Amino acid sequence: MVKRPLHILAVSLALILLASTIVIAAGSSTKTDKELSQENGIIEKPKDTATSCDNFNTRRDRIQCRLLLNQFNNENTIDESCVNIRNQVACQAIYKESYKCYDLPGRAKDACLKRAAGFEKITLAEQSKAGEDKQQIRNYLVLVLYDLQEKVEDAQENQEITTEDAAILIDKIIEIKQEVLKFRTKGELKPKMKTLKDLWGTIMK
Amino acid sequence: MNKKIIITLIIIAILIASFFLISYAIDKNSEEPSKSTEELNILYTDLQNSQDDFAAIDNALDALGD
Repeated sequence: MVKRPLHILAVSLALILLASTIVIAAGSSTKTDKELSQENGIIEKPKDTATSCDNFNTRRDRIQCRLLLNQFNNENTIDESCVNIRNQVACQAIYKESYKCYDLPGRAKDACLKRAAGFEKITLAEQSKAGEDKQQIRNYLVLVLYDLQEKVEDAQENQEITTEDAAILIDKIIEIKQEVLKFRTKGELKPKMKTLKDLWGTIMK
Repeated sequence: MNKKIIITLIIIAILIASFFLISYAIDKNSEEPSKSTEELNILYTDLQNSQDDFAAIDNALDALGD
């Protein structure tokens, strides 16, 4: 008499368990194509390759070409600072993470950039103590330099500065970003920043 | 005999459910930054213009150390 309901209960329990396990497993493994391609180290290549600025020999020419074709706002273009970097995929991934930050207002932008850079703490001083290799601070440096680059691009778009001048500034910014990513020391980076500030004062006014 | 099987199954079910609940709670907690209040927000740098960017870069360079 009692056996049958007990059997049914046991089977039902087993089925519920199996079903919930499948649902949870499916839910936790659902990822977007973007996430999957990032994990697999695949960076989407520019779809429009009709006019490729990559064919120019010098960095400044490539920059000028991209400014003229308005290719800097293309998320699929690999940033110059990631070229010839040991871990190009990781480098580009930081930029991809940060694109959404640049339209945010001041403090929100900083918070967003720090998150994209992989900060575990809020302030630079705290983060400096937290990360041994200080990679997150280097990432943050690159992302704030990119904010400067965006300002140059905007000025060029609004015809406040010439394309040539914009290319000179962006070339310098990218050079510094590359140096940061090549683990140059503070002593090596400071003079380059001084040069950029001087250039900025002359061109942007 | 049957009762024993059922009790064992129930215990296993509770254990598995607890495992998933705990994992879910840990995941959820790690996703949500605990430092998102306005008070803590003040600690962030106000990146409004190029001067703010340059100042933030200088500070970051100092934080790099030698």
